[in-house]
Amino acid sequence: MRIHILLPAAAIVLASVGGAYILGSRQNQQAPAASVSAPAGPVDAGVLPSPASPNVVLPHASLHKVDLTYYVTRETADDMELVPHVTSISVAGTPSMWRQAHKALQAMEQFPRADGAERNPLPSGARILGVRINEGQATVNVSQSFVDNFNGGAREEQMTVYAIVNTVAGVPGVDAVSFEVNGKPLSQLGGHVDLSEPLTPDASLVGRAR
Amino acid sequence: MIYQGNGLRFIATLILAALGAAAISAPAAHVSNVSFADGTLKIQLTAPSRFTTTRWSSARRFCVDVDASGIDLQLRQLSVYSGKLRTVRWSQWKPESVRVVLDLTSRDMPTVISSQPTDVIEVRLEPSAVRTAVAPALTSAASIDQQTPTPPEARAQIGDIVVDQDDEGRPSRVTVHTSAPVAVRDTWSGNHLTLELPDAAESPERILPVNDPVVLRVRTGGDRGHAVFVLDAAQRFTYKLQQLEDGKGFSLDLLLSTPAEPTPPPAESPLTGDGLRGKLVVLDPGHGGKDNGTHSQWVVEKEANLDIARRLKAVLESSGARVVMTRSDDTFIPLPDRPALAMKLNANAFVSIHCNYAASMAGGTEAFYRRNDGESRRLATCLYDAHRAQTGLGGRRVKPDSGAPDGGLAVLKHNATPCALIEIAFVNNPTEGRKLADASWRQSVAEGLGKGLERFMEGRD
Repeated sequence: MRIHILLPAAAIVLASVGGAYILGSRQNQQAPAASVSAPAGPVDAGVLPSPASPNVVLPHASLHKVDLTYYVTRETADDMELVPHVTSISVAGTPSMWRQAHKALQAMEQFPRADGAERNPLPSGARILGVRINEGQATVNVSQSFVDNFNGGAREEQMTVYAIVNTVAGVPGVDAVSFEVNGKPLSQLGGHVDLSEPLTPDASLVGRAR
Repeated sequence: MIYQGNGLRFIATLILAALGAAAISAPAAHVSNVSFADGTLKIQLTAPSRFTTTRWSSARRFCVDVDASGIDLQLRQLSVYSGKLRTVRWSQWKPESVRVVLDLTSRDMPTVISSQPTDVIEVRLEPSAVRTAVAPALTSAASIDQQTPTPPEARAQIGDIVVDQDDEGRPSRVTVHTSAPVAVRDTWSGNHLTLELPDAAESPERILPVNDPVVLRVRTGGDRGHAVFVLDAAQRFTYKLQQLEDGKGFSLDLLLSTPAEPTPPPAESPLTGDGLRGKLVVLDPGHGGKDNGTHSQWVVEKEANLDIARRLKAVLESSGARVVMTRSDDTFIPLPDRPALAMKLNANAFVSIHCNYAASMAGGTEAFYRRNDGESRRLATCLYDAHRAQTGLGGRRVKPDSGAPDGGLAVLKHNATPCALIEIAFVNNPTEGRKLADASWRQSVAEGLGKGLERFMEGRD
């Protein structure tokens, strides 16, 4: 009798979990510019970040780790270069492109302003407000301080721009990256790199590749 | 009596006819003054005369051709800071006609409000904020510190700023118009002459380059709730400050001496060869207008870039090269327009001049070339090597702008002209920032780059 009651209940729970996960994955794929700066909270503990399923806990055994690469800046004796760093997320199944880009940018944004010769590639006080992906093209929305606080030459601008481009375009399925500031197209940051067209990653700026 | 009378009438008729003919062949009127205030340009004539106007909206230019045979002015142009007007300049372009040209900031054309003929031609630009502001009571400079602050909406505002230039192109007077009478207090801080207007509301930052060896620029801004007007100078100078007759603003008569560090273009080229003769070089002073580039306490990048480019232009022209600049003043030029100019002119070389900045205390010069372009690489190498030999500053190599097919720096990657971008020095490196602020060092940089271009044109590495 007791078993007869629990089995239908377990089936309902499993169906709910599965349905919520599928729904969450789809919504993640098309998620509009959500804040990258929001606390990571339980993301890596196995809770899906989608608002549609905030409290659904997946069985731990189904999680696996996905590595994501993000880039920071390093000073060399006579130049600057991008340095890859790795962060990871634990997911069940394949994480959405949006979630991967979101997580990688979040790790980049949280990198220390200075860590030895390496440093955060974003201008002081700059925030990445969100990212959206449509048909392989990502659009990264940055705060006004990203523009206002940028103070650099040609190479510094390449570092700032391509740290983001290489990070987001490192997500499988993302081909090119464009920029917005507070939701409006950004065509120029420091007067050296043309942002009016989507940019593809530039591996030549990554350390030791040049 | 009748004959006599007729004879006198005949003589009078001849005289009048002769005067009439003279009036037709050579106008008697002269231009006696050109002034701009309160949104209106006034061209003062010594006698009533006729005029025609020409509008070039695409070129943002408005011309007034006055039937006048002379100009009784020492000045040759006004630099104006108002919403619509940038400069006013004039010349005797024909024996019987004086042309007054208004360089505008937009395609909106002004309106002539004078009828023909007239001895004052008035050209009205868009009404400025000066006319609409509420006037507070006149206060004296002596009572500045005891005033109760006036509510912002009722306070005077800085309006048009006019810089008169003498026959040598040097600023002779700066006039600042305000919407209502204001007191003014002047103080020096280093080489910056600050005029505080406690009665006037804080002004948005506006910068008017003067580009004189002594007075570099004038600007407006705010400080502790009131307007300030600042003249940034290379050295202190003598001046006479006086309020305008109606109290709405003030003027500064500038008594400028020869600058301590004159920066004339070289009388003789420092270059030795003949490789530049007839060659066309496009110089691109990086940034400009709303894009300041980078900056430090010693230098604003867009200003240093422009100054070095001007000096380099003089060096190259003295060796027979033709030079076109992507910008000759503090103007914003979109990135794609810069290489487009070089390609349109089929130039022999394109050189983009920049200054650098780093979060660290980096220093040195670096030059970028267009990836996979041998001529671009050779140009960057010639510039870098000659600059290093001339100034002793180098250390950051010659580099490709990118390794990616569609990567790279905007002025290089879509540029079919042999092209290079050189970062002269770091503005925030204390040693290099001070050098960039030194006119003689910038002259040395220009001469080094000139030698690099000569080397490139001669086909050397």
